[in-house]
Amino acid sequence: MDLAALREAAHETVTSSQLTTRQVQQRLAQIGESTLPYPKLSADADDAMRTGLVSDLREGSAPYRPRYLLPDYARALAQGSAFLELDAPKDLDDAISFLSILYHHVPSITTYPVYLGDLDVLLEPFVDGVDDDRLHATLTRFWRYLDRTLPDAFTHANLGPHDSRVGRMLLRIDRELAQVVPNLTLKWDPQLSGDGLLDEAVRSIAAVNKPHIANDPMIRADFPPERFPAGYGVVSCYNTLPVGGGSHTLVRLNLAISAARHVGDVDAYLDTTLPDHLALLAEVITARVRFLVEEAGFYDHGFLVDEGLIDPARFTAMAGIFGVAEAVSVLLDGARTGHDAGADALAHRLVERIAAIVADTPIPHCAGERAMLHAQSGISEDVGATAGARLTVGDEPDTISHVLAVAPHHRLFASGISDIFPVEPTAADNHTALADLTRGAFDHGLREITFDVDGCELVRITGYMVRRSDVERSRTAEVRHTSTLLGAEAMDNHQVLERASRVVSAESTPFGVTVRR
Amino acid sequence: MSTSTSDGVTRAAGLEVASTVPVSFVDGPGNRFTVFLQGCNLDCFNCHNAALIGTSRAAAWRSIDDLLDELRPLAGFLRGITVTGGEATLQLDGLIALFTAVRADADLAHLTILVDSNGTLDPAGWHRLAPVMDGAMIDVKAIDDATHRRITGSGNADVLASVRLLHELDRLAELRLLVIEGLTDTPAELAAYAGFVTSVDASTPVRIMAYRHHGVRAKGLHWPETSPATMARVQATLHAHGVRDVRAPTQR
Repeated sequence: MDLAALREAAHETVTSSQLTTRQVQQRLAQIGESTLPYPKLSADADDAMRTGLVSDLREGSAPYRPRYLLPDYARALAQGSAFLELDAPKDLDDAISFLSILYHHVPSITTYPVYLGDLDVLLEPFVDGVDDDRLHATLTRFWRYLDRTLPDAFTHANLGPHDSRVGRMLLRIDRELAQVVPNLTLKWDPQLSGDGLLDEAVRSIAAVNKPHIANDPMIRADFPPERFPAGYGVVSCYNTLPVGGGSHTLVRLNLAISAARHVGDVDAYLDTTLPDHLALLAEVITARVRFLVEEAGFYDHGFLVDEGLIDPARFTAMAGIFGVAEAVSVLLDGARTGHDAGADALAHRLVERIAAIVADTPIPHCAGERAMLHAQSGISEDVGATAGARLTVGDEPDTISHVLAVAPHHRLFASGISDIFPVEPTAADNHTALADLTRGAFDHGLREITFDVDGCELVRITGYMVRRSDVERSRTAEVRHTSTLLGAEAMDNHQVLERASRVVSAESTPFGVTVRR
Repeated sequence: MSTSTSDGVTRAAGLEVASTVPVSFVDGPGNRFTVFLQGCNLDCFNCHNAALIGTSRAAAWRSIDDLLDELRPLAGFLRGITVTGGEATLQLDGLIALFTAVRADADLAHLTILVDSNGTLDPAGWHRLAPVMDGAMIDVKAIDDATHRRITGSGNADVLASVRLLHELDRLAELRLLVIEGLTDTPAELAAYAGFVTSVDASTPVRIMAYRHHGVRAKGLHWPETSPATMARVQATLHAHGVRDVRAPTQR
């Protein structure tokens, strides 16, 4: 970008009436970063980036912090922090104060923490002797604090799989407050969790469209304790990553473009074009990881590393794909996934092939020297390519057929997949139906499930939430949540509110230097 | 088992099915597989499934085996099945055959079985059905007999007797009241409705539903759609008259 364009972008940012001061500062930082050259790429990879075949989701040209970072909060609470001059907390108020402080020192691509921890596990040890009224009041204040000071809906808390007072109370409070922050995942295990916790969760879903529910036994198997001793967390929009680690970067391949560029039959696509394009994806991932680790030196210093809250060995990179629906349609003469068994079979074959190639491609500085496959849930500016491996939005069959169409490849997306299941507003009067569908879906191998209950004030854009009323307000005035601006853009680009199923693409993109009009 | 259909032909056990729905939240607790049977013995002006009243070329005779084949892959996602219509109990033999087969099937035995009915089945029919179902949801459209005739074309004595019998048989799942402004929401009608419910069992769930024009024939369109305020008033009135469990749709 030339200097005049940079100046114009900066001027438009500082004079915007729709941004808070902090949002202005964040955009100015991005404009500054954009003046640095991109890590060196081959001509082919550079071309893939320019044409949208491969995209880094506008992470920026000089990565200086990991995209997603999941501190080991349990360790922090147990040992205290010398850097923050905090002793290990001894009671509930101390523990909440400790976390509230620590969150402000946890970077990510959004500048806010994308992971707040498994809050029931973290806080349950402190609630003996705290009665329900006090617990409700204390956790309500905490929940408000999170929404008001971490105003970004990619900020994500986890609960479960064990039933607990804190877990149930947080689900109740989340329902009562109906805030966009934090985004919420319940890790559910039919053996460990019990039906009571699931019932509490689906009651919340029917009211506020969250939590998202993760198939805990299935995901745990992908994060074995010998490699990932602190387990996994679900962060931002459906990104499933090691706790005490995270993901350096997320780069994605647009399969709609990839398939459209192919000349020849399906077999030739899977054997030649697809591997070539995945090699370009790997090249961009590698260049970004090397810059972050070797040049920016993020992991060489800082209290998160020094105090053991993150371990570079538990970081990976995410190899994202999207546009499976369009790729299948191109390769198979217009066949539609979710409606045509042949299309579904090809989608599964395509993902199998991609997973095999990703599993066979070394990436430096990653756990096991491999990236993890991710069905990327889109960003607000996407047009013409369906998020991840989803069925085409607005074209989904009934929930059960939908689950059966997509479940076969869920096992392959170790770092997350984002199918959203639109359901009728009548779920509000029969929330246990959502528990029935969840149990069935997990029995059939679904990795995670998100319902989108039509008619809620909280609207799920992809993984993150916005309030309808905030989106309307954002058109004329400043709003607290950065993510609301993305939601507004997604709604404009995808007519999100007009659709029967309001599910569109807009993942955890940073707000690139292009200023929203 | 064999059964006869409306065209008088005797065939293997089956049902005249208008359609099936694998994901339903409005036909009883949990997620339910709902079977819509073709044909009804009432002719309500407010019917929202008017195409199911008579015969239809869109309906199809389906064997019990065929229905079970459709049901089996869905079973893990379901709390139960509900048969509605039309009027489900007009095909009593097929209904009993279906329910018996579901209970005998290892993959399906966990499903609860409900019938959504207008309550016109005779006592002998309910006695046959009771052992193979978990409950019936009965549309009691009005307590005032004249009002009931105005809506349905017939009186309600059979319907009210069915409700009492199902309660005695422990098969009364819920009552359903369609609220039509100026017709079923009058103070006298609501008092009578509550009086009937409490005379049976005050804790019987009563689900109130708002009248909507969707799917209704021209003769029903001059009655207004029911407002949220009316729904709230009806719920409160039934409560005040002693009905303990009045279920109204969530307003958003």
